[in-house]
Amino acid sequence: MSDKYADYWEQNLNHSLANYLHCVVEADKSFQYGPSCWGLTASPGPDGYKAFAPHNDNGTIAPAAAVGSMPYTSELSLRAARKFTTLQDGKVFDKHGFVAAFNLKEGWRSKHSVALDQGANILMIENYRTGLPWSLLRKNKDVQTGLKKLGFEYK
Amino acid sequence: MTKYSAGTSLLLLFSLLLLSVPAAEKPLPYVGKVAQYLSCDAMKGRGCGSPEQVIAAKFVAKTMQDLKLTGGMPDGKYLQPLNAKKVKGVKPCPDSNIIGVLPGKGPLAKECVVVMAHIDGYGVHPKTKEIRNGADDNASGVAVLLEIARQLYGRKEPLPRSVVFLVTTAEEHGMHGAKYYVANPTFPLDKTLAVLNFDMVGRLGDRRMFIYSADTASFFVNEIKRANTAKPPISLLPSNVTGMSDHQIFLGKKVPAIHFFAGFHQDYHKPTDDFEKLDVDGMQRIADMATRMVINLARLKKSKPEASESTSTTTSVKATRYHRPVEKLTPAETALLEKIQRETFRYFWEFGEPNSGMARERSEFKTTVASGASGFGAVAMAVAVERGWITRQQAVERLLKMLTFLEKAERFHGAWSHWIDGRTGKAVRFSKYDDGGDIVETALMMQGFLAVAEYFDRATPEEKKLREIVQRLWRSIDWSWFTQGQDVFYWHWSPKHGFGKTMRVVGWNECLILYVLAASSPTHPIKPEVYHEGWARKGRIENQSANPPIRQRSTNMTSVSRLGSVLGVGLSSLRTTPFFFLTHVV
Repeated sequence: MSDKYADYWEQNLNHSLANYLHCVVEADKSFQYGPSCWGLTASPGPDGYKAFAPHNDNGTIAPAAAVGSMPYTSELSLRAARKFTTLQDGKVFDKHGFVAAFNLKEGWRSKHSVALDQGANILMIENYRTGLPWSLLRKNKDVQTGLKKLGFEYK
Repeated sequence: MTKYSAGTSLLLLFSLLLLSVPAAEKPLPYVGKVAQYLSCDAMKGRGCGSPEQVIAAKFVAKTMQDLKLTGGMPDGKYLQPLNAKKVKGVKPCPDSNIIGVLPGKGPLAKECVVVMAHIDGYGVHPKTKEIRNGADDNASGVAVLLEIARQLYGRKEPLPRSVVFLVTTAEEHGMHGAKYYVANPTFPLDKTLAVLNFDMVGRLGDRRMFIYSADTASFFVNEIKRANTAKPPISLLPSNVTGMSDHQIFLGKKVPAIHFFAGFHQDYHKPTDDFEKLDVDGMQRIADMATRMVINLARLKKSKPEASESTSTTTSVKATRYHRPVEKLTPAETALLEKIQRETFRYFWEFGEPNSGMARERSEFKTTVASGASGFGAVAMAVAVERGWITRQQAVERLLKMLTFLEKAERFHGAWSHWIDGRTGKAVRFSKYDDGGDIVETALMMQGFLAVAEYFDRATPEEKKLREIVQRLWRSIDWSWFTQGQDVFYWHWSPKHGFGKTMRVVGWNECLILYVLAASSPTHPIKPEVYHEGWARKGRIENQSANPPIRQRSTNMTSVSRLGSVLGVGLSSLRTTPFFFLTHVV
């Protein structure tokens, strides 16, 4: 999808890559990030809920960042998803899917899951696998009209 | 460049500083002295339009003169004032770019290599009055640039191509200096072989250095390697991420350009971005390497600069590296994804709030449900039917429970609150002033129900009923109310606080879907202007931190055709991790 301001696939791809590159290359080594352990976003952390980002990074990873980027960076997201299921004796992947966040440096993990993150995880994996959520919304006639009205183009 | 009165005392201070190194310590190399000078407190962070910015510019011009560079302006001056001519997209401002040229010799002398760094900083904080010294951002870049000029000074053999040293201003406020330069370049842009931009190169340490946009000319990667001969070599990471700095403006004009970036840190744009934290030795190594690269590029055998090649190929390059088509998954990988999805589904299915069927905000919440996330949950029901985890009837039953609940829930001009009490349907206060309708959450939720109304398309009474309720809800949302008649959305409204403390919804962040749905509404639509003015800001849309939407860095999303543009590592909050399905209808 694109309009005169941006190509939104590239926008999201680059956002995901920026996230990955920060964690793998740039971040403090003590955070124990790596090619299979990356992804910052606003989430709970050892010192409370924060909008984590490269300039506000204390080692807290939210699984929804990498998993929620699945359609864009599938290779990198898959690797991370696999790793997340094994971390901290498998407790990062708890009874209703992933917990909200964990921090390897502090040996911490959230006791909870966050609804919005859970939605991102399940739907973005589905968008990667079949594109179903995207295609459903795209079918809506009103939405088609609205996108056209604003000048969006999409395949 | 004749008068230095305003800066005399500081220039004097600087010359004293050069002499004042205690003999016992390792003397500070030139590159360190320049960075130290530009980031000292007397420079007050070189804010745009400040007297100190003028002093810094004059210092650079004087240094260029001392290094026998010629002035880059047609009249031989070094300063390029941004208010001399009107340039589209450039805010008139009293500051100047500073341009010095090392002339080439021979047939290629009419072509050039541009070495660039921005000199402006964030200056003094308007409220706290703290000085944001900008040692790394970007005294370090200017210091490296001048060090390159110093190393090229007095060469016996002139280089074939000319080298332009461009110190830009107003980068922090929208890259106006770079925009002004490309409209008024010293050498024509089609004679500009390449641009090397140095922005935040002061904290190399033992980290790897990014070289952004390294795919914008075929020769970059090889030339970078060829120049990296230090022992031990600098650990480099050439990348096709665009990076967010002045070089974007050149990329937008199809001039190949790379950005040297030594990494992000907690002091970014803060008063603590101080000289003491710089790795001067690292800056020296970067400057040494870059000097070799400038020499090699100035000699590169190539009659014409090549157009930025990656404009059409970036996606495929990235696709091979980061993406794997779903057909290529191994059975084990497919099983893993299925398992993650299925376990996650239980959050919405078994763990749903029993009265409303909606999604609990977090797993420790008992009765508070979240509107936006429940819309995601609704789509998850369709996924679950498709994958055979539940039956179609079960899904419809649950969705009808949610929809009936939402019809009776408390609403504010058709919008729901972010949090709702699952037992009563009453709005639950989210924060001090957010106790009413949340139009962003409403959009996140509505997109989910519109999607399931498409999925459950059968003529059974239950599925018909589902579609009817979705239509009723959809048509009853008064989107335009949340613009207050202006060309922008306001996030919240409540009977108690009105629009009092709310924030405007401005791109780029996760809220694009709000503008799309509001434009799509059959009953209360917004005009396209609301999107263009409010969200896209007529093209001045930029990456932002989402909550609160603080302006991080001026990055024009349209400035670079291949767009990656928008996203340098770290310069935007990553809250916008792309999961809202309408960010793409590809």
